[in-house]
Amino acid sequence: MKVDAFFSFLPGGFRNVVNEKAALEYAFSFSISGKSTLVQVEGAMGLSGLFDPLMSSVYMGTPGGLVVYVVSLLDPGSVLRSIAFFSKAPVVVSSQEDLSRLLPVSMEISRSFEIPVILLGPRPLERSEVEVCHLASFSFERNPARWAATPRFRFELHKKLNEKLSKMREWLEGRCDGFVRFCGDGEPFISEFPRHGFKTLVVPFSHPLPVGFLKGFFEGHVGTDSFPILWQASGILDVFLEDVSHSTFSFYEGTKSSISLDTDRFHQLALKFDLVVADGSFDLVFDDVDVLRSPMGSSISIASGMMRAGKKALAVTDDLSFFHSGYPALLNSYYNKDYVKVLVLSSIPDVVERMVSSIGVRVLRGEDIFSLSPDGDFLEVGLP
Amino acid sequence: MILGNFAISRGLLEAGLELISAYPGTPSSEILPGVVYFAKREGWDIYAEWSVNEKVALELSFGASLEGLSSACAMKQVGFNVALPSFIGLMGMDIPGALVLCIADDPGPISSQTEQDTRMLMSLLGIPVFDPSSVDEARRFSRYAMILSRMTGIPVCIRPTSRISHMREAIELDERVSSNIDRVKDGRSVEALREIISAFDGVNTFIEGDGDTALVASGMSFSTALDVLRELELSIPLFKVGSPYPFPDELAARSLKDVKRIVVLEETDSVLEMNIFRLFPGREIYGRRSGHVPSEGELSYDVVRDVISTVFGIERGARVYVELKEAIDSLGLPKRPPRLCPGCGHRGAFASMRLAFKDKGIYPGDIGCYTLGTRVGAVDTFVDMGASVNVASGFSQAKAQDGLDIPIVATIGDSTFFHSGLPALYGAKERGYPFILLILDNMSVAMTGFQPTPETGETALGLEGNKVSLESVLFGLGFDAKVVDPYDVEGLSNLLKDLWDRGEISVVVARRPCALRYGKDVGEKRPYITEECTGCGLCLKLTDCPALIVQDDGRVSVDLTLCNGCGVCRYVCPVLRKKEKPLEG
Repeated sequence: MKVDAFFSFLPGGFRNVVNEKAALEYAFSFSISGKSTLVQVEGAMGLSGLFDPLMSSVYMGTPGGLVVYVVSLLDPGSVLRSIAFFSKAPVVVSSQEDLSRLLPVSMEISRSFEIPVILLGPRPLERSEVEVCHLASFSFERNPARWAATPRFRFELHKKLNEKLSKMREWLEGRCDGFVRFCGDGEPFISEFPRHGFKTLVVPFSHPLPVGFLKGFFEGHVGTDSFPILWQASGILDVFLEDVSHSTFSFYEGTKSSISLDTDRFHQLALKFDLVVADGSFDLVFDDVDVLRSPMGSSISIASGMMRAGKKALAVTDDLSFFHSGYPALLNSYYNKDYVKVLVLSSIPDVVERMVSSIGVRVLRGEDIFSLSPDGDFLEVGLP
Repeated sequence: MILGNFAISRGLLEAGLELISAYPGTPSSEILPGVVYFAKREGWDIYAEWSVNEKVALELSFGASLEGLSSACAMKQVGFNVALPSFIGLMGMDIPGALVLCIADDPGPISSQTEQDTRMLMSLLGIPVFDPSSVDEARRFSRYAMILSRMTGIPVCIRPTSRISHMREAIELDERVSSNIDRVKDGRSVEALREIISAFDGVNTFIEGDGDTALVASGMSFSTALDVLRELELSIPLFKVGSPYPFPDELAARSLKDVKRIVVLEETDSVLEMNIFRLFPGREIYGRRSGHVPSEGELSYDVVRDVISTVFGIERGARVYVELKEAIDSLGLPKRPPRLCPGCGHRGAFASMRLAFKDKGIYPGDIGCYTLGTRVGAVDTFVDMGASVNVASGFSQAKAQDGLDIPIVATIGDSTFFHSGLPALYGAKERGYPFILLILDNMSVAMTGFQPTPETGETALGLEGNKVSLESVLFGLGFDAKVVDPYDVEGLSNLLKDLWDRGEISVVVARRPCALRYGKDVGEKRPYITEECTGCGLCLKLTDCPALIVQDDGRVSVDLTLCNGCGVCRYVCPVLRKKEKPLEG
């Protein structure tokens, strides 16, 4: 697909932005300048990372087109589906088979209705699938009632958004042919992905749901209006189809590890603490040290909270997580005198040290970190 | 008589609160100060912290709860968007202590960018949520939320709306209970949650009435509906839902089994309505799906009266019916739109930007008092907290595709910069697309009640924290930022032009302590208007100062009781600027 800009933040893959929020906000600027943009993030964590600007831009609209592509292969639970629905943005769900067709369709929906579209896809996009080129000219028109809408105007925008979603539902009813279809054999049920052993009605348009088309399609093919529903946001589809749901829930279980850090020396350091709180892309596995894996950029504040409860916790992060959202957390710890110990694993220690020491935090590097004491009065940052 | 938010604070403390963290945001801002007030008054030992953003606040309280403390965090509904990634990553953990999320919603919206309904999000995520309909319920439900969290090991949410947060009511207070509460086996299950909540007094209640039409409501909508029904002299069955999740299925099914029609009132999404559809398929249901209840805006008295009148076929003319807006308009009062205060440093910063680049520039703004820069053409966009930096960088890249030279000046407040500007500026520096970032530093979170910032070093408990130097942090990010006084319009305007000509990312700190918090009489350059005023209106257009009054002849006079002497209007006035010596008032 051709777009004017492509912003990606995949924790273990291609990224050209500092965090998900930045990705959406860059894309928003492009889109209100008349340019088409694609944002790529991973799973419920990625989507929630850009949630604040997404919710706001759904109200304001994105005339140039903006698709948020969420890699959902590793995160198929309904948490992702739930927060996507909550954003009020249109949600399209693609199987591997439909992806090449649903990418342009998602952009078409976005441009036609001037709204960000969330596309849940099965795998990261390959570089060859996205061509960044100069398609549209820069055309930002000053309109404070829209782009800088105060609450009074936000109410009007919300009203327009609800009308827009209603029209979109009708629009989608006429575009379901070829996308909504049955797969497989067995008992019928509705799903976004085909399921083995069932006759599955594949529905790529999750929100707004083309209810009229679905009812007609199902009745025409099965002759019943009662069927189970899987893979959906809890309690959503069943309300519209007035049927029993079997919603599923899964919880995010931590970041995937890719960097090994099981040195004896780090082990000796960790033994000085009650536990280690770690975020970042590295492995931490010890038999005799409690390690709490935490979401990106969260280890410092969680360790601070534990310190307030009397626990000696060591926060361990890497520079990707530190730049993502750990830096404000460190600043907060210093400001509020939460004397937490932080270890930053960095490939650019000079940059991190400059940022950290500028707050006022004492920095230790290299050999010095192994003298780090849990009882010291200083925040300490180690950079191996 | 206490404020709704103070009632929440009290309820949390009565249930054994030990730690609270928060980031201020209307309508939630008074919850943390309420905790500090009651804790000091009663001599209860607690820790309270203003965190730099909601994500940090959530993580801090979560960390404490994982080590056994009864903790809470407070924020507004859009603030929870910021905390959401961490919450999703942590919510599945078993909490040995307790964690209450106090998330205040803003139907309307009155002071937010979206109207999102936290009850809906919590229902989707499977997190118990209470929706109080009065100040007393705010206190009791907060207490229940803490107890429920301790009994089950899961986070529990209390969701007041603006009206509940900011109304006052005379209520009775309770003593602090012990935090030694037994854990319930399989407490995460919906059945267990329902059973525990059913034992709490008055959360979900049914009030019998006449007829075959019942009303189901929660939160402020329930209280409003009670007033409307009293006025309309209707005595119908009422079902109040205090826990939208888990929805009280059994009580609802039992209470509403004989009614034919159900009216559903709630703010702002269809949480109760979806459950009513689920429990009563085929029943006549009047709510958002039927088009009887608007899907946006507050359910004010007038709206609720309209809904109930329509359902019951009551003609609107039966009693005096005047919409509030019409009533206010009929008084003929002068319109007073929100404006920056007299003496606000932001005024000079905005005037400098406009004088430097006029309409040629693009001005991404941010969230705070300075959003009012829209009134002088100095804020073109605001999206969410901290977006100004990224939007400026995005604009810069987008226009570069077309080879355009459009000056871009982004504005952000000091607290917002600490909130989410740090990673953004780091990322923008890495990308390199040029723009100017003007940090409007008033040493306070002025819009939400003058909470301290890291620069002041003051903490929520009134203790001395560490001061964080804004210039030093900017140096750490690789910027040699200029610090200027925004009252110096000419100097700042020239600086902005010079910086733009350099074609790189630049940061300027426009520092002037908040005139409201740190004192009113800060300037000595009061203007007085002479016969030379031509009535060109430039001072009004570029400053939007409340002290400038348009007279009948089109010329401008100065209300010296409001004027702060900042001198910004004197600089932008074409007549006064020509004077060799500025006029002194």
